[in-house]
Amino acid sequence: MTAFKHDEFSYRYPHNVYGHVPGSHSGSSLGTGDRFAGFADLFDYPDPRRIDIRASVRNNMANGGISANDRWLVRRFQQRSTVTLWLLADMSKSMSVSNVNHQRLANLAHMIAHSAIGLGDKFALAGFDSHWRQDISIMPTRQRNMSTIAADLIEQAAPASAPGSEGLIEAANMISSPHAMVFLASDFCCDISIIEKTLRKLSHYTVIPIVWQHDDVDHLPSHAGWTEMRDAETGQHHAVWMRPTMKKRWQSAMDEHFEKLSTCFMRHRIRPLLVDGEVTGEQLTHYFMGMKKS
Amino acid sequence: MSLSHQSRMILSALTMIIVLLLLLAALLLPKIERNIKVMDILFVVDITQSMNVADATIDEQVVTRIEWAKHYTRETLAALPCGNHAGLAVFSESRSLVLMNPVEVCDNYHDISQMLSKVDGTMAWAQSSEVSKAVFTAIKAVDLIKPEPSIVFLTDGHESPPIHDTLFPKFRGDLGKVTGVFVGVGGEDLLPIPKRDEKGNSIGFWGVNEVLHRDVYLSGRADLDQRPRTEHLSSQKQSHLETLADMVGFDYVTSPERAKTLIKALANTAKPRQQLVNYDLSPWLSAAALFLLILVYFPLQVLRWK
Amino acid sequence: MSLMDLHWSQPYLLLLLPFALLPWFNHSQEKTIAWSAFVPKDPWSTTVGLSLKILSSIVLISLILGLAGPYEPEKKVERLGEGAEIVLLLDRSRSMDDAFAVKTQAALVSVGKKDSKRRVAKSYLTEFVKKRPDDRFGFVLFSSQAIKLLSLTYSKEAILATINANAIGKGLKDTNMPDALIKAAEMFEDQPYRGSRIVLLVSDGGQILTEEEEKKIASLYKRMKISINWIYMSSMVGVTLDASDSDSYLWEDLPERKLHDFFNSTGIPYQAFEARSLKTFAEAIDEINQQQYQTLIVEQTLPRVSKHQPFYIIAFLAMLALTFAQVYSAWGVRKAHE
Repeated sequence: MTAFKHDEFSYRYPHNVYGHVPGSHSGSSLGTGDRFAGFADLFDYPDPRRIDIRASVRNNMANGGISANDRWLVRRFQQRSTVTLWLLADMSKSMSVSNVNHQRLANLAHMIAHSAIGLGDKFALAGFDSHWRQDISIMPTRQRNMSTIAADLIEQAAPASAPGSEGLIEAANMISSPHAMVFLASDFCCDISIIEKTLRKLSHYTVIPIVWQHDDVDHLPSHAGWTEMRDAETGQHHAVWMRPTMKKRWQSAMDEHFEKLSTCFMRHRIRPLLVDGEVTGEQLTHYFMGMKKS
Repeated sequence: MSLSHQSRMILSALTMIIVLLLLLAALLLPKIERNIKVMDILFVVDITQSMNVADATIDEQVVTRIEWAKHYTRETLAALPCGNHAGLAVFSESRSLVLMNPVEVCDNYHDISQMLSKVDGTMAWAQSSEVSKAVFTAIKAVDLIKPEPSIVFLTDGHESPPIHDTLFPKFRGDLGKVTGVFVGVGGEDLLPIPKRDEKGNSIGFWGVNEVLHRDVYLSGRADLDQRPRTEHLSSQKQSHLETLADMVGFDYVTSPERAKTLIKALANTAKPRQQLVNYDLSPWLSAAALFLLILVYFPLQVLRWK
Repeated sequence: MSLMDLHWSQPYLLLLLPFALLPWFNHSQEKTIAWSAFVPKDPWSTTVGLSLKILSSIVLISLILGLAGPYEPEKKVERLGEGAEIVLLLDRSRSMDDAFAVKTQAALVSVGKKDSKRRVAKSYLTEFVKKRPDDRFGFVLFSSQAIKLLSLTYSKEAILATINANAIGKGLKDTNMPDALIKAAEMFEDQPYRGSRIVLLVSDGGQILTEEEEKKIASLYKRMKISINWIYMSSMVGVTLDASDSDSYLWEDLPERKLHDFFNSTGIPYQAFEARSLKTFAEAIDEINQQQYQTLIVEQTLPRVSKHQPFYIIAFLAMLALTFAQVYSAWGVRKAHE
């Protein structure tokens, strides 16, 4: 078991949450909370502790003085509610090329679980490669030690049995919580259509894509001469004689892919978080601070 | 493989540059001169009549001693590395007759083995067999050959007429000046000696009364020699050859099976001569190049996948 | 000269040839990349890759072939030369130990000294052999019987070693001239006729032959077209092979004279040289040397020729291309990392 940094980030669910379990996000249900949500008649809400005398008097005066059918108004508040933080973790082989690796993914999982459970929210995990990885999945839970368990699960995961990231769609189907923030951690080196399909499916959740960027040399290892390569996913051998025109074609293919990806995110009004190397709590905090409050 | 792609590429490039330089050296380096040790050897083959006793074996076949001696000499000639020199002599009566001075074995193998095939009992110029004296004459003869060869004396050690231990001829040369090896031929059992006429035809065996049984200088003093009368029979006289070898400072191997035994004994006793040869380094250089190149191209992933 | 005609001095090294396939299985210079979908398709690269692999295999194959020691085996070629096939017939009898060309009977008793006839014969014959590059020599040693010691050979080393060995030690018993002459002629038996055939007899005496022997010798020499040259080394000054007025009556029946007469009478090409002093011996040798130059088919052995050089050159050239490619590629990787 590796020791994980107890890094944290603060986040806020951008929408109102409906739910009877008290939490830390603006809920749509009324109850105890700090956010005023109007008045109600004492008869409807018999909670004399919250009688607002000033408001009642003002209301009665406005209706023509104190009379027998004066109404007593009770203050009402929105109840704070909980959400579930889902992590969809890409476990495919391309996620273990040099600076992008399972160790870092495990750190991320630890951080998300730690932050979520600390705030009283639930955490859930679904791993995927070419299929949904049941062995690297955790159903929504508030269990305190889940952060470490999740990290260990990822770190000690068996390697992918088949190339591809098609399991993403399957994993997305697992999300059943009514209110969820979905962290989608991947290098996004796969067909854009898979991403598109997944995002459509997750359209009523808040999706935070964490785009893990590979080093340039892990995409384009040489500028000149004979270059032999092995695809991290498929293990297929490729070899090219590198020269300026080849480099141009290669570079443009890369640019095209990532452009398509950002267009795709834009269409779904999602801002991706681009990272290389370790993901820190600070980065995520910043991300959420920048998130437009609706 | 823990090396990064970049370092692997650079390492390969450097190795290939070394390979290229090695190949260039193999192509351009002139031959270097080097001293190798060569031996000069004079094979003296006993051709006296006792050598016609068939009690030696080649590949489990019983052959006469002389056939065995010739076979063994030929084997040794073939096994000697190029550069060594070998000559041929025969021994009969009381002297060794040099037939050919030592010549380079590889270039002249055909000629030496041709000559060797002509060596047989019919060459003998007399019927006595005085081994010790023949050894002394061989040593004397070798003294006249330049460079002085070592002697390989192939004999059964049978002295005829016999000599008594106390009347052994004295060796007058310098002990250790001429080196050599006795190769004992023949078995341990006493066997009758075939009698041949001058043309080499078999005419029975030597009878008990046809040979001398006593040292001639001992005649009339039979009290000094009470040995049984067995001189018409012959075996490999090992103790006699040992005495003789001690006296002249030779080595002694008895009925060796492989040419290596003799060559090893020679290498131990003979004084090798330095000979300058042109030595080509290119095989070593290109072998090193090949080795490095195989390392470069060796699919290390095979090891990794295991 | 094709590959198949070559011989190999270390043929077991050819077992290494499968190593030439290594480059086709080698991936040790590979880089694991995240996604190969970005790698452009390029037919030109396929060609380059194929040629690089072929070049690597060529280097390995040529190196292994070169190391296996290819050579053209020694070849026997026949060429026309000038010379003769000569069988040396050397008297090994004890009388040859006597001093050569002494004036008095008393001086004869210097046995085995430097001036013995055998020693003198040896040193002049050695000179003679060395002067004649194309000749093929055989050697017959004779005393009480003759031994065909050295079959006709082109090896100067072998014949010189035999001549030198002949000078070592004392002489054997007596002389068996007829056997020697027959054995010498037999040396040419079963040999193709290549050119002038000579039996060079060096002796200090003769022998009276029986009629039967004479007949046999005469027919043998005629049939095989052999000529006889006799260098007669007389021990005492004055003895000649041809009769003359000043002869002592003792010399009339000398065996050497009888032999001389026999040779003259047979019609075999024959020439006698009477060596009376070192000078006349040298002259006799020179005369034979000058006379016996006739066209002769010489079988020459061309030594084995090592053929590894072309393989190393091929390996070097292919390696040069490969090294350039590798250095360039390594530089390209370095640049990508910058």
